[in-house]
Amino acid sequence: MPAVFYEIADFFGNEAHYFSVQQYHEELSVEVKSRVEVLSKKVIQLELYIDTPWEDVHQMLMEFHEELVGVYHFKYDSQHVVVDDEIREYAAKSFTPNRPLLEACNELTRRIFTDFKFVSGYTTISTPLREIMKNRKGVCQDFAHLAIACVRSQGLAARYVSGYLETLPPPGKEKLVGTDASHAWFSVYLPGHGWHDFDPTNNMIPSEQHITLAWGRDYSDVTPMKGVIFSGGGHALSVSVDVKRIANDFAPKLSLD
Amino acid sequence: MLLSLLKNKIAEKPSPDGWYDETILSGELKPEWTALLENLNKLGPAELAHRNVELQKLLRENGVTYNVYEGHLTTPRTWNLDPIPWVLNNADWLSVEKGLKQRAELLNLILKDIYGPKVLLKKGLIPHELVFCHRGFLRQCDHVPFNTDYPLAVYAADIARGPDGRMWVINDRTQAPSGMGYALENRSAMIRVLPEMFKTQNVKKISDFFYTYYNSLCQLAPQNKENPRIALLTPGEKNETYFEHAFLADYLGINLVQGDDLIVRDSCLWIKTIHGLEQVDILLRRVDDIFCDPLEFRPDSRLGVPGLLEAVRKGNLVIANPLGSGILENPGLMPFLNNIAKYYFGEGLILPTVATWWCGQAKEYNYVMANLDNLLIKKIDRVTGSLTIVTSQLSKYDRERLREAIKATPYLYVGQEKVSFSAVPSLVNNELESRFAVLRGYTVAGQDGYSVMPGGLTRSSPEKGVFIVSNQAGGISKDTWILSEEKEANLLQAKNVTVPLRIRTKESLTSRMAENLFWAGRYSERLLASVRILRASLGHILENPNSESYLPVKERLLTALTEVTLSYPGFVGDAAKKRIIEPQNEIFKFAQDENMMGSMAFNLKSLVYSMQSVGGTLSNDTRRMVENLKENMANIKRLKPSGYLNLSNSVDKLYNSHVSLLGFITESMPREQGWLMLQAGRKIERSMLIASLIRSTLTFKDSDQVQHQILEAVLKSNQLISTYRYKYRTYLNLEYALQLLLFDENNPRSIAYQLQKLDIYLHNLNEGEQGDLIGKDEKAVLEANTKLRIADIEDLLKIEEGKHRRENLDKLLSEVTDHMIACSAAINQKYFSHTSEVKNLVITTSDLEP
Repeated sequence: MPAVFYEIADFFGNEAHYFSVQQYHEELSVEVKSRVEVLSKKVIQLELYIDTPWEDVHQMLMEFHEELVGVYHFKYDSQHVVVDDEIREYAAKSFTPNRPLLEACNELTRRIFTDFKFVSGYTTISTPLREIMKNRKGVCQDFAHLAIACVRSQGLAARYVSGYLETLPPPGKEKLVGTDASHAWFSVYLPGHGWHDFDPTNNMIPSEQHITLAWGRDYSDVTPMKGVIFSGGGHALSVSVDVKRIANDFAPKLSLD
Repeated sequence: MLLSLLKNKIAEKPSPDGWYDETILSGELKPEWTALLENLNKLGPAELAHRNVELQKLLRENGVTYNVYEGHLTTPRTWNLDPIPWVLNNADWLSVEKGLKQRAELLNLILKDIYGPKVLLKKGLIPHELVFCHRGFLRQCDHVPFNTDYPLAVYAADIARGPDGRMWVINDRTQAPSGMGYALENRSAMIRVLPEMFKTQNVKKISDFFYTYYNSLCQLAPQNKENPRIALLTPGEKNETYFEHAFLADYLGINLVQGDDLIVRDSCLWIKTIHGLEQVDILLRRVDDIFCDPLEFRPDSRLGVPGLLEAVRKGNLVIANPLGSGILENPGLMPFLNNIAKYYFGEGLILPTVATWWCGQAKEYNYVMANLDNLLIKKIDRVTGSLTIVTSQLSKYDRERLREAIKATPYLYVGQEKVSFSAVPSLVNNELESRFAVLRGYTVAGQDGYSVMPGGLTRSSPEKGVFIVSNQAGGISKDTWILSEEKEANLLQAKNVTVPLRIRTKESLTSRMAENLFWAGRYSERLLASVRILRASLGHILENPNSESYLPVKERLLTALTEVTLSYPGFVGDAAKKRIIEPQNEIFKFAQDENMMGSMAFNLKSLVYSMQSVGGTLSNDTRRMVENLKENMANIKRLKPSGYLNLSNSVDKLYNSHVSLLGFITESMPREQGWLMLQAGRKIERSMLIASLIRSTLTFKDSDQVQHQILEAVLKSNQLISTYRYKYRTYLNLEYALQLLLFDENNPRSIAYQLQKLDIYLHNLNEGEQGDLIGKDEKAVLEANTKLRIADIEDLLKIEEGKHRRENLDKLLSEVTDHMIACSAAINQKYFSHTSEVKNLVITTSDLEP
């Protein structure tokens, strides 16, 4: 166990752990086990019928409202999300006059899915959005960042969601270990109703298979792990994720212990 | 005469731009200036000019410098001080003082609110963009406890007087305000050089303010710890105000440290010293916050300490000013301060802020866009390089681009009124001229609020009629006089000024400093050895040109040059013979090529580097000698590779300047841990170099004639010929020469002498650490010494049947060398071990797909 280890909440309320290993070591392995309950997203699907036009939301966010203090962070450019004219134009096609916000976002999600090709390893985290726009290729965090830039270009608030995706084995086969993956998608703020998730990589509304880990303005706010080591040699890193379903009808227990 | 000169100037000056003249009130010379000008008159123009020269000389001698960035180079520039101060009367000052206190209180409250409850944001008193879009707002610091009512420990403001005679605040400095140390240096230089000017005036002391400053820092100690350890974090000697960092650390009696000197362990901050880790309670930082902790902020920063914020979060460390305080260096806040002051204090600002329009609001945005050409444009957060955009200096194209930038992100910009500053007389080419001036005032927090320095750092514009006042642009500084109603003890002040605030207890040398000194010692000896052996080789070649019969001697000497300095291939290896016969190119390469490992030039470069890394601990004279050494080297590098005479002369000069450098170090360096480290490095290196020289020259089976010549060259190069003659009064003989080089404890160039001294130095370094046990470093010396002592000279001289070398001698020297290598490794392990490299745990993108 590390000499120093404790839990902290970051600025956006995400749970994080700080640790420090102070002895000489040749290997560092971090294992995180969480038991997660995913609430059904059917309700959220229904909310797609909420027909608040996006311009109304924009207007609200332009004004000052005390209850929105925590939302304003997600309106502006951030390290990986820099809006330019090209993105603004691309987004404008979905944000047509008087269109309901959620409908516009749904369409934006579909367009990114159709217009951009998923190519594993094509980009790194430092590939800027204009490169993605030019080559029309990328991975999940690129698509999430792009969608966020589009939403913000219209004066709206969007945040980056980092999480896991449960993959399902082919019918009749055993599920393999280590096949699940870290994933990223985006979320849009609708006053009075909260945040709504969209997954442009899979063109879907995140549901039971999407497990939220943390959110922030973009990837840099929710890096899964960061740190420094004191060493003279090189180092290599490997990551694997497993999502295992415990029960379909898992429900929170109410107990007094 | 000067007075009349000034009066004339006043008379002819109609003040067309409507600026304020500091010396005049209602057409009359102000009383506070009359006295000053009378004193100047008494002194007379010639004497004043002379004193001015003395003043600049004193500052130069005290090493008062300000680094100026020119392209990629950083050049230390001597601090400029104008002998004419800015004089303010007590009544004027009282309102400034009151205003600064209020503003410090206000900014302190804003800081606490922004990183705490955010009431000001929720009430709309501060627009959220000014916080959330400002790069100085560090989300990592949100809700990190400050552990004090006054987290804003130091605050500085740039103040100028407008045309109506009122003082205005033009800038706030809340991260790591600079200039306090320069203000103190200015005052102490003025008192020293121009004591007459203080005679008839009661000028308020500023030295007391530094006691207050020190006490207020101590009060920040976590858990009210008594005698807390305070350290000043500097980015290093390349920083523009490094002089001040070193000066303040020395004056306040606190440690001067760089990021590499510190480490976070168990959520506490420690200094890495040669005697282990020592805890730091309070860190006074002169590094911008985002560079302070690579774990939390910029991962590429090497100026900070990983985990620093962690130590703060756990309440084990207080940083002044706290990380995140850069949010207050924010011109966007200026238009809102008056209302915030009313909210907190029920009254508006005492010191007004220069008129500022924040473009995040529609009305203000329209105003700025309509009046763009007449305003100063600033971004709300500081970007590297220019902070202020003077629109009238922009090209039409750039002005359009600026318009577009403001249009795209209006909330990142403010427009500010161009204020004129007041004019203060300055001595320019020995005449008084009016120059615009800005004053930086300083406040520090105590338990019951803020104290203001009665004075500050005044800077005036380098050119007539220009409002840009900055040190980077070559501004001139002035002393700032606040006149007191009561008589202050001026002479006492002059004495106090140089006395440190408290007697410093003996503190351990940092590992980084120790390592640099140790290597400075080692490179110093390497340089000496490379110069000596080069001189011996050149001497031989010059005395015996083209002589076939001397070739074996030449070969031995040149081979030794390569072997002793480890500058391979040199005169060893493939086709070495050819290079030995025609050695000119190789010799010049050895002298000039600083990229060739082991060359003379390489050793010199490494020595200079180590010396500069310990900069602050060296005396001014020593630093000047390092510069001298560099000049000599530059001369050698300019030589054309033809003929040896010029080279030989230049190498002699280099040798002399290096010996003087060592002399200055011996003269001025206190015999403390740093000295011991430097000397230990020298002794280890020298014993290895002597061993290596003997192995390369005197272990071979050579003819008597060759051996004699080599012996002569070896002794000569070590300046031992006269010692030898005096001692033995005989023909050169190997046995006696070896006695002298190996065993003679009175000969400072013998191995025995090095080992004997090394033993003492290591023992003193180790003192009190491990009781009676001796460490690996001392053991290595003991072993080497014992082997040397029990060696028998007859055995050493012997060459076995059929062998070509004195194998016993060679073996002994090889063992001595091994023990010295072990000793160096032990020192490294024991004293510098925590200087390992920091690396980012790189997270590649592959972990986050699809």
